[in-house]
Amino acid sequence: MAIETRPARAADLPFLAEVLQMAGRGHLPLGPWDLLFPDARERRRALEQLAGGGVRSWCHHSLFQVADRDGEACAALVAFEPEELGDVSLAKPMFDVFQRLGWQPERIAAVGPVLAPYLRCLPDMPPGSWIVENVGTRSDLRRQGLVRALLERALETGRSRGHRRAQISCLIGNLPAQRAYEKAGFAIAEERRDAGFERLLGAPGFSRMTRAL
Amino acid sequence: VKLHPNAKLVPAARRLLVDRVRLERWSVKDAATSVGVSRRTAYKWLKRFEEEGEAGLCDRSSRPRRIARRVTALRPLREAGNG
Repeated sequence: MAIETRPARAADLPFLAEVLQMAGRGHLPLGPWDLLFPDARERRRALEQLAGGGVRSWCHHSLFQVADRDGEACAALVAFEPEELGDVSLAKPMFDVFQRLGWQPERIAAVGPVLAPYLRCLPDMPPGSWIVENVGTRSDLRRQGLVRALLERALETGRSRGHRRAQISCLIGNLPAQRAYEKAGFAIAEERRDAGFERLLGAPGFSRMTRAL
Repeated sequence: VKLHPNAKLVPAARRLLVDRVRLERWSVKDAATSVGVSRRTAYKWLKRFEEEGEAGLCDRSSRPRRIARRVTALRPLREAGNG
């Protein structure tokens, strides 16, 4: 079994869409993408568009690193510096996705209130940090060190770019994720809880974890 | 479904525990913590699921299978209202 990490390429889009979905769900049955796009086919299209479209965000394939096992993509994550994007909000890239899906303005306008509690808890991405997000492993290949390999590589890259601090986040209660990040040297720096968030998703909120590089 | 009064988990939560370990590859320790039971109890439900599938996640009867010194002689009297 050979694990190799590499930057993502356009051919990975279907897998990256899956990773975005897994990362959004965390340990829960539904995540923000399921709420936005209840239809599975539309969801897949939307996420491939988000990862592959013209608007660069922290969900874009150009920022993803993929772990291959025996030549097959099995896990992935995004590592980036907020300065690189200018704006870390997903508003613009998502607007582009909605338009490409042919959504009417009323439908687009209805998104904001639904997702408001989610966005309230989403951790800040402070400038100067090296940020890891959108971590996902195929469910049948977990606990085999794929994310550890990706994280080691990502932290090395952050260090070589001169960053002193790295950040990652997970849903409160996602014990396997939290454990994996703790093993990689992260510790919880802040928790954001919100009753609306809990009603929406079933977890109390987000943990923001940091470590020195 | 009638549950034992002290049961910590309903069958659906037992299923969540089992699925987290078997499908989502959680450690038994984390899966047990996540639903609020001990590791020992988690292993109990995993074993029952392995042996009996979904049905193993239901409560079992706690009626004694055998009563060592049963007083059968008084039974007709009691049933007649004289016990």
